Amino acid sequence: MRHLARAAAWLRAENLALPIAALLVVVAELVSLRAIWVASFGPVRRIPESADIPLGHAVMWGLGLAAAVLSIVGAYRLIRRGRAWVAALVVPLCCFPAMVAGLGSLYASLVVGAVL
Amino acid sequence: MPDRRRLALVLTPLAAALALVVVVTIGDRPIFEQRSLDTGTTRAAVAIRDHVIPFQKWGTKLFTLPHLEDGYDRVYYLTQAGYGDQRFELQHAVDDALRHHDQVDIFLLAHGNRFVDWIAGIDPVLRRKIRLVYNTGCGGASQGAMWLDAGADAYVGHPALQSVSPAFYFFFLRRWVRGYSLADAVAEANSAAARRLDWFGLADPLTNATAIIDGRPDLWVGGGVP
Repeated sequence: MRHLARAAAWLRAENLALPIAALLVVVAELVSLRAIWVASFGPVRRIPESADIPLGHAVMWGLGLAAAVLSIVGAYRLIRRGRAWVAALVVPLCCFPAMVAGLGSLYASLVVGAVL
Repeated sequence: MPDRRRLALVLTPLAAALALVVVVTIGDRPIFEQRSLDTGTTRAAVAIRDHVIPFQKWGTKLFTLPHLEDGYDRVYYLTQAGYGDQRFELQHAVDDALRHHDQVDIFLLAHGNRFVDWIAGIDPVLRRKIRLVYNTGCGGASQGAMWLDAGADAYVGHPALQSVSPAFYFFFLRRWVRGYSLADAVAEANSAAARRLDWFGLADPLTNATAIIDGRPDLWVGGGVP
């Protein structure tokens, strides 16, 4: 537990908590979407047919928005307060991919929802 | 550190905007309705997805159903749970759609298939109301004459034996339900899909996404058949 607390304190001190949280949310979104398609069209149907589409959009919106916000705020804080070399490394390698995934998820929801 | 603050205020929105540009470029631009679909005719769509992995079944439904519901008065959407499944349901859906609507479009979202045989039992007079048939199946372009003989006004299929039809279908359906003519929807979808395959190094004469039209290219979702 002490190691975990120390690691968390280090992540906060280096302004890395939000970018890493953004990446974790992206992973959580992929896992959630997989759970939905397995629950809907897997060997045994576990959710009602009427839930296939709304659940997908709920995950794309909820976790997509969370990933986008965390990555954008994380990039801002890192550029503003973090060490320059950490920001130069983490913003393009961690924050930007999470932004693409988060904003992509929101955009995809609007596109497949026949809104855009 | 006022400079860092200014830098963050400039770079962060720039990065977010760039991320959005990447998403729209890889995906597709927003497409809004081109013309009113309220043409005084009633139309239905029948779509069937074959027995594939759960991700493909779910993804196809997630994308297809809202678009079809956007462009048609009634949508019949079927998903097979095994090879040869939904034969009666497909025939019943097409028959019911033909009896209750002026125009019926059929979307065969399946690997190489012979669904044309499944609707052979429907009254040939009713079948004349079939307007567009789109088939994602590899090499499905060879069924053009069969579907036109069966009563369709136009048929869109893929000639490639290993067709990357999902790439085409994504761009095609969005344009078709928004009122593009069949010719324009197919041409734009062909070009958009080919461009993406090229970007990702997947362009190949044997595995392309190109689709061709048999029959009337002047159709559009709101009408087109006098």
